[in-house]
Amino acid sequence: MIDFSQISFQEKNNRYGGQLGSDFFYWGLPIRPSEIQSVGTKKTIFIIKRILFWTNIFLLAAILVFSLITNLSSPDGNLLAIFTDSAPLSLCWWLSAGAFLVISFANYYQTPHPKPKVYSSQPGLESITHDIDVSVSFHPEIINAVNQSYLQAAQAESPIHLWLLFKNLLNCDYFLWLIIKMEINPRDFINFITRLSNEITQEHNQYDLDPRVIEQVLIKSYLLAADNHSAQVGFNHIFRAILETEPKIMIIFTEQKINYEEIINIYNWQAMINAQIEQRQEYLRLSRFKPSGHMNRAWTAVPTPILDHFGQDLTALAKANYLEQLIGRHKEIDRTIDILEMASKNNVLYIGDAGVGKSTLVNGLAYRMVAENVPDRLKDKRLISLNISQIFANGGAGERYFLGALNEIVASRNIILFIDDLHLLAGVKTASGGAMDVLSILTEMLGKYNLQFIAATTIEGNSKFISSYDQLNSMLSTIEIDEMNIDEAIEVIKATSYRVENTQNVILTYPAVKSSVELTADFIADKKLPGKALDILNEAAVVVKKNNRSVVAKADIVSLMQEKTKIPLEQVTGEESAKLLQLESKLHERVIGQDYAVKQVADAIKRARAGLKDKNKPIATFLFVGPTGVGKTELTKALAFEYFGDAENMIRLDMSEYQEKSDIKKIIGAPPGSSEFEERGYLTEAVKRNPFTVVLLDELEKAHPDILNLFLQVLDEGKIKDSLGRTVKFNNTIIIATSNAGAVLIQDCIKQNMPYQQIESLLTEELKKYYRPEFLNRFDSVIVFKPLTVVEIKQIAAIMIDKINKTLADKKITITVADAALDQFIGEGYNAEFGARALYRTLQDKVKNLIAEKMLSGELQEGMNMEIIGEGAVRIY
Amino acid sequence: MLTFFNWYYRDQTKNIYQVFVGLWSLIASYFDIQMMIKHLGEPLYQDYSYSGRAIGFLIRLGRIILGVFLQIILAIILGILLLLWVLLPLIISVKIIYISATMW
Repeated sequence: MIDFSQISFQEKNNRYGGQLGSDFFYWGLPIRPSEIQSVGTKKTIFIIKRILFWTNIFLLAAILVFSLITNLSSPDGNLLAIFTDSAPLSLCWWLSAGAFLVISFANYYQTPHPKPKVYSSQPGLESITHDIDVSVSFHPEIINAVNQSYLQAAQAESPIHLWLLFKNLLNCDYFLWLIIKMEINPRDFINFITRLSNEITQEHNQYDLDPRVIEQVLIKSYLLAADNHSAQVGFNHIFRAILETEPKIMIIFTEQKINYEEIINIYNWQAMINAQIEQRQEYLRLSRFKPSGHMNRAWTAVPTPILDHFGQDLTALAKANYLEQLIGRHKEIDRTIDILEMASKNNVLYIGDAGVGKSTLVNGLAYRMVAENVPDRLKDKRLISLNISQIFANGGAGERYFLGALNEIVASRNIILFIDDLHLLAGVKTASGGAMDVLSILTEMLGKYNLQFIAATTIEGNSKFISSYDQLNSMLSTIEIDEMNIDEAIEVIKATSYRVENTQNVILTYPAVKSSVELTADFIADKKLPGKALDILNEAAVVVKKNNRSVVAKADIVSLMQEKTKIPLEQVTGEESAKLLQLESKLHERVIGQDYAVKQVADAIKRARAGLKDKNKPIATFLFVGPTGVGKTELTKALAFEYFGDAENMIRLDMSEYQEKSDIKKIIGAPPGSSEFEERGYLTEAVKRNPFTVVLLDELEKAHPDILNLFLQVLDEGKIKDSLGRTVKFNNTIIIATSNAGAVLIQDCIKQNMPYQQIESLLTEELKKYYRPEFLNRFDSVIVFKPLTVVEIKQIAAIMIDKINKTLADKKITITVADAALDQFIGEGYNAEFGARALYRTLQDKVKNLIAEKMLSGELQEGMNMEIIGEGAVRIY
Repeated sequence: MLTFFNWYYRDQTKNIYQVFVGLWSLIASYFDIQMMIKHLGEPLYQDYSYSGRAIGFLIRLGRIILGVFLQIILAIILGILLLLWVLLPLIISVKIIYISATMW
């Protein structure tokens, strides 16, 4: 990495430049306006050269034709006279031929553009002095922008400054691309920079401008390019040098919430695309002579009609450049080639979840095979992917086609077979009804004919099916394909984004790419990176295209993810801020009393929406303790409604059903090999299906201690592994455990009017009889629910009456309950032991039955009101 | 002047040479002489009958002969063209001087 502080900028031999070690770097092109060739002059010279070139060719041809015609018409004419004669016409022709060489040179000679180099950093050259003209290694468009800047500054009689150069560089396509990729409006940005640059130029006296800063930036760009081993000093280098020299330019990007690292990532994007294009061209060049049909170069193969019908020739597709290119995964592909070269166990089984890139890895192998960048054993071979679903969609004929395809591979001897989702073949019975299934037939063929074979399966497919085929496993070498991390996935998407862009004719911005990876990593649990992020980008591109827009921005990804997950992901808006601040009162609309509990829950949601939650832990974890019927479940429902938009968005586990140690399998699934293996874990599967939910663990104290230990990890790390070893994340769940443990103690304490803090400390001691201290400590908060007061009971009763009224709204009937009647119902229905639940049952019995009776008798009709004034006594009006 | 000769003799000669190397590779790859020699005794399309073996041998041999012949022709053409290219500035100069001297 170049350390710019080591460069000493100074004059040397009448040249301004930078000394670094023994090397002196300078800008060799003229910077005086009188010496700079304007773009217009350059164009004129170019046109004149071209005119001279074509005139010369015309002259040569005209003299030749004239000489031929003249000699053809004369009886003793010599057709080659123009070359052999000493006539003036011959002299003209030879002079034109000489001129042609010189004019061709003037037209087509290109000044060499040596690769940027720092000699003093090379061993043995440290002490040798080199004067290096950096201008010869610059991209021509940058040179034009530099020249324009000098000319414009001279015209305005102002010293040149960096903002002027930056403005001129913005006219280049690359910079426009860069600005759009940053999700900045290019028109606004260019206008802003132009205005700023003009202001500085006009009022240059007010600024402390150093005209040498441009040369410093150019030299720094050169050194950056040398450091990157680039062939040329490009826009990315000068852009970075500008940012290093004038940090104020960075402020504009910071305002757009783009930091320096992101800018570097974006500018590396273009370099990556260029490298991709170069690599693809190299593959195409190397694959020119690879046959694209079934025949190999040795002419020993035989036709393969079944494989051609049911398979995809990946090598032919790679030759036609139809396949997705592999980014990274060098270790895995090298291992694949090593295995295919082995004497035994030379078949490969990729194990990895959907979306991790197993098929792309095979595509990468196909590209290497067409470029013949593989060992001899894999050269002149075809890699064919067999479509299993298509074969077995043919009913009974499926087996025949499958065997036919295998026989073709045996006969052809130049085919490597690839089967995706190998587990689909397990248990597929043969039409002949024999004991062998299709996978066993494949195993037999592999062993008998030493076929070359690559297969892919999921972790689940391997554990459930493939692992039980011992003979097959003895022939396969496995390669586990892990999910990429976020940085790797961003790099892959940056490299492959052009496919989405070209298909939908849109541009993907860097914030969109980054958020697609980050959000899918956080919120989509059943698929893997980078596949799931690419899926979202594809969907977003389609939506953007439908709306007649051309740029896929971060907001499009966030909105799509929000639609999919139903949880708020956008940044907190002003309106939502107000709503969040009033969250407690919103929760209180459903939950009466329990102020402390409601406050704790509301605070947890506010923290999560403000982005303060630990990404690797559940959103919030609470242990609700208190007697039954005091609002624990109601608060959970209210929370589900406020955070996930649906009060029923809840996974409820009645922990009294998990009292045995063996009940763990009901939660995470039975281990492979056991008789109950087919049964999946209730909790792990439910969270995998819906990772954005409230997990309610009811009556926690009744669960077996080993099951509580299982939840230790969930509460602490936000994840558990199911019986197949797959990680299930709980980081988007709110976990609420309810417990009646200590309920009697709470009631006693309340009767004694004990302060809340004292109840809490007594209860903590009481809870330790049921749960280990480290388990209790894993909860964000242990919340004590108090028994309800008479006033609260009355409020709850009023809410229940309101609910009844809502059911009668269609019939335009309103029910009211007089105070005396309500007191009577509460007296009969409320029971401190069962809380509000008993009251609900009483109201159900008394009020609803009464309404039904009056409606059936015709006394209560549509549009009427009824007041319940006592047991069975009503007033209808 | 030096730049002109550098461009003419170094850069352009290299370009011409590369075009010929490309053509050479195309022929070499199309006829794949090395592969044909390696599989000379093998039949085409795995037809292991006597006639199949005989036909395979003859066709492979034919390809080898044709490929070698075309490569030799190409090498001769390349040699002549390169020689002409090298001598062209000299020929043009000599012709101009000679005709001028004859005329005046």
